[in-house]
Amino acid sequence: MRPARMVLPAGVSSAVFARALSELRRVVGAQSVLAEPEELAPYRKILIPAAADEYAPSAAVLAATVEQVQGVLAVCNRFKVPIWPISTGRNFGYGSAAPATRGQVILDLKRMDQILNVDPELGTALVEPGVTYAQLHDYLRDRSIPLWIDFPGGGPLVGPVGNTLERGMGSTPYADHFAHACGMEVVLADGRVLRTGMGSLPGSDAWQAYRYGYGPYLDGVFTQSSYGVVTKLGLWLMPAPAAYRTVLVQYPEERDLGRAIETARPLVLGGTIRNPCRLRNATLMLTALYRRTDLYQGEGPVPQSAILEAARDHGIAPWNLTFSLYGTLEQIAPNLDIVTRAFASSGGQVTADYHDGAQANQLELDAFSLLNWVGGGGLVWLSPISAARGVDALRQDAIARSILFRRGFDYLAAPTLSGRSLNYLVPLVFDHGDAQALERARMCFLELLQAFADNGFGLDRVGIDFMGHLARRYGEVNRDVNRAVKRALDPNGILAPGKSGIRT
Amino acid sequence: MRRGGARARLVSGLIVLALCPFAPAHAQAAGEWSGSEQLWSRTCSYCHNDGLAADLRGAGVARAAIIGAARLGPGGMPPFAPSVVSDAELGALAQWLAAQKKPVSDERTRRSRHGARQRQR
Repeated sequence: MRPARMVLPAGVSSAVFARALSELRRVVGAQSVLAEPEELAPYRKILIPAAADEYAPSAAVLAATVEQVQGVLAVCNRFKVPIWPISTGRNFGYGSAAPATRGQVILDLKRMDQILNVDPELGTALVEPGVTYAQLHDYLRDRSIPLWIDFPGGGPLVGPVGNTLERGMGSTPYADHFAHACGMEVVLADGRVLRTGMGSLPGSDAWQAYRYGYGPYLDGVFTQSSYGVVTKLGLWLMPAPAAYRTVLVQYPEERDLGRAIETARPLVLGGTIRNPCRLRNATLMLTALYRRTDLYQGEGPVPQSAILEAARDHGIAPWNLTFSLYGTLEQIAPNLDIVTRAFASSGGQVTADYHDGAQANQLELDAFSLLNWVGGGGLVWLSPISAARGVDALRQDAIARSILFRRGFDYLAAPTLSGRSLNYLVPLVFDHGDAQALERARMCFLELLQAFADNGFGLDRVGIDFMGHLARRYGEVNRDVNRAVKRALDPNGILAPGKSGIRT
Repeated sequence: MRRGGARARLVSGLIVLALCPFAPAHAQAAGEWSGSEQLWSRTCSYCHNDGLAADLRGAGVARAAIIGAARLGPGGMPPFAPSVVSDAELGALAQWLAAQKKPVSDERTRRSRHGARQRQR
């Protein structure tokens, strides 16, 4: 990737931007302001089907303290320079570290990487934005603290603050990361520092223990938003269970998807299964074993016959569902009987014990095998949401399958049942270095987004290139309220303009 | 042809948790890595020692190539910003990698740990 020339923020002259950079250097130090194109290269790399130039940052500022964040925001307000906060800046398949519009200054919080507190008895932690899951995992391990972390597909490289603020998902009973967050410290655009929940009450020791405090529950408005810079986040961590068993259920026919969902839902709602039930189709499973060219050298999707033949060779079924049972051995044994009977009676073949580190506190980057399937580093996620019903899963399967195949892409799917909802995860992989493939992927993504939305399946997260588009699908009133909050908290619109389609 | 499969990911018997002693954790940002070994084990090795990307130990990759790849993230590799790791730390990593023996591939060990993911190249 060739570094581009300096990019100016929209509406800011080069002279004004130079003054802004000078002031930012005064706040964080000269070494912590990056403005040379080659220094910014790591912030430009994106996996989504878009041109990196369209989302190129104008600079990056590395803040190390809350006071520096306040100083940076003061400068940005003064010079009307837009600023895009990142924690560890990963956000794989959604835009990585790049801003929603060209010319924003990246506020890189990686240097704020302190694990400020872990309470082994309450199972809570307080961390800064630069902390990674690997760092938190090592901290707990080295101190023999029997708490687990729950991490998303990006595993060790990503961090709990960024992923929780994007409302990311993991694989254990604590998979809903925002549901297991408790208390935030937020630097507002005007420099004031808000501590949410009990954090606003002097002397309270319950900031990480009780989420709501008094009055409106505010934490949600700081997720997938641009209303403040979160500089501390409280987490709930799962007490390490005495034991666990990870179960694989395999269904022999593609049409069994609905049956699998219908069987899993009552087991999840009843509490027998406490973590998400994730299904993977055969093609997704094969990405762990092959590159697509090992199976097929032609144009278009790998023929289904080749997929099914390779799958059979490796004991992979058309649909492969996994979950874990946690607890004592005495608790697990009867629950294993219950789930085995239920899934077997629905036509599933049940096998314990399966290996999936993500369900058991073992850091892995297995998800990256996706990127080897095609090669070339192109990835974008679709995550349509529906109620957890088999009929809805089958409709989403039909939509994804028909559009992907018609547009020449392989169909990889990981429908995930969590409680009462189903997140029909579909990764679209392509060669980012091939301009034609990139454009085809972009058009395919757009068609999928529209088709899902037309059928009532809204995405719950989207890359920087479609944030405005998706926000419009959620309606005018929703947008008006978001805009009103934005105007109240960030009247100059300096914080991450365009994030989630929100502007002043 | 690749080997492994869903069955290969099965591990025998019940898994009962145990905590093992390890070296102390360090912060994991530019200027804070305890050394190249930690940088390797807590970042690079998840892919470069795990069948997802080429193992760089003893591979004779030049310092400039290591730094360039880390900053740009070629193909599917994520880039690493100066806030994550410094040029000096990447340079030391290149030196450390060059000093390592080229590992002998142990398919049996790797498959037992990661089952389906392992590839034969």
